[in-house]
Amino acid sequence: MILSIRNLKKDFGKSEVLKDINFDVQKGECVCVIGSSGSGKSTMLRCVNLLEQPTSGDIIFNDQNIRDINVNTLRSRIGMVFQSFNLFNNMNVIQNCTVGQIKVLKRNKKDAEEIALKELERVGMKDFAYKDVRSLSGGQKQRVAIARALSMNPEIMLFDEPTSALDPEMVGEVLNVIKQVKDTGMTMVIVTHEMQFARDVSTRVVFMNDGVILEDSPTEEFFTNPKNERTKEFLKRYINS
Amino acid sequence: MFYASFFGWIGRIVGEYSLQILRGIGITLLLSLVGTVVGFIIACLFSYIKTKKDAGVVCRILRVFVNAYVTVIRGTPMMVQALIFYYSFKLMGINWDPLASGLFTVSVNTTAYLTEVLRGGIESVDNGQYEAARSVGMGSFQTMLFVIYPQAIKNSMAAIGNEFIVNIKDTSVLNVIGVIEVYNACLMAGNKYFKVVEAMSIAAVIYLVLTLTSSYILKAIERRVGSPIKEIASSN
Repeated sequence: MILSIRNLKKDFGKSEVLKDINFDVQKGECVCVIGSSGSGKSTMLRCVNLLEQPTSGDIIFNDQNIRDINVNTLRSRIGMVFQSFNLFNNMNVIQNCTVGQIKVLKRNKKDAEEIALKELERVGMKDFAYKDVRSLSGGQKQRVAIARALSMNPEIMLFDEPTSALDPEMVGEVLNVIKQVKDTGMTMVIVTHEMQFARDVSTRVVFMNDGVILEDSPTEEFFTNPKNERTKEFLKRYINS
Repeated sequence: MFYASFFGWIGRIVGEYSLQILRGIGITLLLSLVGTVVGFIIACLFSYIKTKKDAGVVCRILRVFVNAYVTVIRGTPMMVQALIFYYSFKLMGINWDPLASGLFTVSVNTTAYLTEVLRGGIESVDNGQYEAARSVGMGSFQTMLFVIYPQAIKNSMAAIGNEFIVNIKDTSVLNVIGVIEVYNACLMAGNKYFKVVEAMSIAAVIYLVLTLTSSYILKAIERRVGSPIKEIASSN
């Protein structure tokens, strides 16, 4: 088991965002987390790499409690892709993919660039390696962000609504890249609103509502035979739209 | 009769005191340049202390000091500061000349203003930049050094340049401790003939030329460094 979340709770002041979350991810799994906005999906993801401090509970990463791992080491082993890309604006495309390798993993510049180019090729952005990130489209930015995360050779990749800020036209190219990454056997947790994508790519789907996990089932079962009433309602609305 | 005219007197003063006035220009530029550079370097440190996230105890204590420093320095005139520094150091047995004291004063003063300028620059950088840097495993200091400051400084270039131009003019108050910069050099030249208006006209023209040239050079530098980093609204 690569990731195990036990009794995770998170409050923001008085509001309880996560109420007792339990869930595991096996190596090589691709788990999609769905649910309406404000259900705590992103917060849960951000707790895993400690962008949010859990209020209580434990997160076990590769048999180690994340509290016992140096936070920077932990984060370098977990790839994170954000909704708003967050590429470093003061660097070009390849520098975005090498800065973490050089400063955190202490790789030399030549090796880092080699790895970065390989990952950029994988996401179809190799030709843009020396371009300014501000000149890219949203879809291109997100693909670079994925390459940046992959360049660190993470053990798991977290995607926080990777296509929510994109033009409908660009959603496809990003989803294809994510699918491709999954096919290499990368362990992934994806928070998404793209139902068809979740169905195509994931091995398991987790449905969250109001800070709790209501359903956690294999993908086919989740979409064809959901158990929870709230899940059924949610799916009906999505399929009708 | 020629010397009785306004421009005649100006010509005479400039002619007689050209060396002293040139030296004054040099001193003014030295004060502004050193003040802005030293102020900028210390302000980088101070703004880091002011904006560091999840700051520890040491940082929070330092922050109290930095906040007090900025409030006191920005809330008092540089002329008063100059006199206090110059004479209090002398009382402590440090016998420094007016120029050294002036350099110290203008650096201390600029530090306070640029700390606030950089703080604003740092806060204008999207928090997502910080989160992304931390997410690849960079520490707080690395994040600031490699991701946040390059953008914050770029965003603040205009304000930093402005501080330099303000310094060119405001260092004139350092005459109170006997620094002979442009204003003081011109005043001393004019005093020989009791021609204050003529002398101050010379000073005014010199200041104008200095500030205009500097703002022209600064604009060129800003262009070289590139446009301030802003997300283009429709870049998705």
